Amino acid sequence: MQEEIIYDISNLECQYIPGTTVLKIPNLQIPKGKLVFVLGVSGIGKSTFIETLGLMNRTIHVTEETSVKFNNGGELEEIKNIWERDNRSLSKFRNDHFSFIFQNTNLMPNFSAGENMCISMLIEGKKLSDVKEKVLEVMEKLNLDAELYDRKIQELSGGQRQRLAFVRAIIAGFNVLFGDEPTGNLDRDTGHKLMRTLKSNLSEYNRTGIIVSHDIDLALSFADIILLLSKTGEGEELHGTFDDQYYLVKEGQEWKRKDGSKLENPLELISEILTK
Amino acid sequence: MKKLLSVLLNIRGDFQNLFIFNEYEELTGKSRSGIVTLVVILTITFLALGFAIGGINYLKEKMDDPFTNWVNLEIKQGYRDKVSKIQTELAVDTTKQKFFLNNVGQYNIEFLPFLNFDNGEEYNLRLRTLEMDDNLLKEILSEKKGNVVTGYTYSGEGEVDIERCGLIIKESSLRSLGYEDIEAVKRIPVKIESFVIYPEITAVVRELPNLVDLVVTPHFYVLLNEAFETTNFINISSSNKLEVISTEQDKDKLQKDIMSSLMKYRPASTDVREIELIEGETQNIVTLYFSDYFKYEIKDSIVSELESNSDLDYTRYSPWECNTSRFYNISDPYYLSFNFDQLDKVRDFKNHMWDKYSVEISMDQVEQKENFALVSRLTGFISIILFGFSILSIIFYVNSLLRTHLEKIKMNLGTLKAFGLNNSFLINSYLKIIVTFIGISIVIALIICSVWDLIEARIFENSYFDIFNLKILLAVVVIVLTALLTSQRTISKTLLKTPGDLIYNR
Repeated sequence: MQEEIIYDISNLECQYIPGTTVLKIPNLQIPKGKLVFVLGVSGIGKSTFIETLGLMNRTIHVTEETSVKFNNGGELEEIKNIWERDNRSLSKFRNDHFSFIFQNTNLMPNFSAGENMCISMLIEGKKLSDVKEKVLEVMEKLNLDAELYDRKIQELSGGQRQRLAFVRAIIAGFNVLFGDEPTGNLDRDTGHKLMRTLKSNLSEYNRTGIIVSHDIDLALSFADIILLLSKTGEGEELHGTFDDQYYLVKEGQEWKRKDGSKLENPLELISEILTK
Repeated sequence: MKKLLSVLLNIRGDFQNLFIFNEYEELTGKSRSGIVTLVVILTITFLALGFAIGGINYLKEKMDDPFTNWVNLEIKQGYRDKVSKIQTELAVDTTKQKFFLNNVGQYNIEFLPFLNFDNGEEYNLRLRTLEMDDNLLKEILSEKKGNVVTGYTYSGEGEVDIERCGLIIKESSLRSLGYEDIEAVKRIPVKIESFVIYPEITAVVRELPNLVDLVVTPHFYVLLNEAFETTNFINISSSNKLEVISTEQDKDKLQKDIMSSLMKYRPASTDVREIELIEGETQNIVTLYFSDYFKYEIKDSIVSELESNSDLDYTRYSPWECNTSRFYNISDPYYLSFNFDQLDKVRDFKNHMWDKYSVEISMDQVEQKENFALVSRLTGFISIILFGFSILSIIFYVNSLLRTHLEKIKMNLGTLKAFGLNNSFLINSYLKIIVTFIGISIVIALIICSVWDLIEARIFENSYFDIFNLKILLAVVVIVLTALLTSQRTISKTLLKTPGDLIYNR
């Protein structure tokens, strides 16, 4: 059976300033329901990658050849011109499909811990009383004390805040979750625990996770797919790119390239790319 | 309070409710320092505006006040012959318009002896004449102006309808004559030569122009001053009648007392009628009829005999006639009065009078009028500058508060936008927060100003502070609208950035 695709991208150039390409993706299909890790050196365009796909920034350089298709209810919808839509409609699209976790957590400082966790669902228009129940349920799964719900953000540790941001992200209704170093503030065990919870959530609801990270161990432990971004070009033309040969898929306990060839030592390849 | 605000601000859904109240708390700061600062700015603004408006109103009232809006010209012997020419020229409409003249009048000022209510002693009051159709009379008696304490008030329509021989007297002057219950006084005694007449009080007023105690019509003035033989105001020809007035209430006793007290000139009969000088307190006028005709000098001696032989009090009562065969006017006035609609052309008028008639109008008066106009304009101008400055302060404060806060939480706002919160929700919510913030501050500032107003009204007799008026309402609307417009700009400037630019601080 053919895999369902969530993103089908071809000839995508990402630009913050017109004429200056920071990331090129010639061809990429991301299957639905998988946990995808995007790895690469600093400044290669990892954040640009999730900003572009998560519609956080107007970075799609639209040309005739460009195509960015998104699986909207089973149909692949061309979204390269989505920024032409009005703000309300664009916001609705994000609200319907996306969720986010950031390394900085970006929790509202004047909201309580509980209110922060509820935000994503409240934005969807749900009632606070209904959301609270679900939040407490997820908190329990993550070993977060229910007593934290009413605490001020300032009273919480970095790790606790990160977990709150995680709860805020996974309780929302979404198709794709974007994470930018989501476990950056956590110790290994807690980070792994969050990833397990995330993976179970993605698998339960057939959702996709796209995580930007520097943590190779985390990626090799939890990713279904690893995308390695590499550098190309010189001088002012230097930019990040994605090549099919760096599309790694985990089948069982083995890592393979996109063409199906087995990868004996994925760590070696990743390390090589990350130190290039 | 929260529920009420939710309804007033049309807050929709749990998230907007949570967002607005949490952000409001954050913006207003710890211990509500934000509100306190804004309340202080607004209170100072409203106090300054209240005093400026009160001051302008006072000056405007004075500027529009016919008590103030006139210039007097004392008619000196040197130019007495020019008076009629001046009056003729200034009666022409185009000349009136040129100098914003309302009307030109003439008047006299005299002293007249009144009898003190307590001890009967004579007391000179200063009177001024005022023509029945003079606008100044309308203003003095105007119902709207509130100058009348009791008596006739002019409604503003038609002509003033009063007796020609009544008195319009100042409240303080009436009190100086020994009267306490001002509203009850109907007539007061005036001594003219050896006669005492009791003219009616038309109105008791708070203020009169020219520092006079009372105002009479030119007709009454002439009757009081011209020879009685000419005017027949008081009949001084011989007659067989004499009238006295007494406070004794028992009419029989009065009649018997008169009969027993007069030995030399015994009356043939007497007649008693009542007169009300003070409301609720009647006195009796006794008319003594004699079989012979007596001159006034004889009548004086009859009254003296009566006063010396009786224990009761008697005062000569002189009947007088206001509606004589003709109406009199002052033929040789001491003063001309020029009443202006506006004071802007007073100096031009002064120059015109000098150039054309070599008549000098006192510079003091002109300068006083000009100063009035200048101070009024300056106060108005300063209050506008003050208001502008206040608006700027408020806008600067609110916007800097908002800008700092948005800058602080822009990564969080970016995240909310990434989760699908749209710009209009955020702008709408922040504008509601600003409305609440400014609204609460305005209400508190106005309450403080009201308290100030109350205290000031208790401490000072005249308060020049006016806080509840259309101008303040307009100021409030301008403050709220300007703050909202500028806040919207500030909010939009931040929120129009993409979620990514906000989150990654680009």
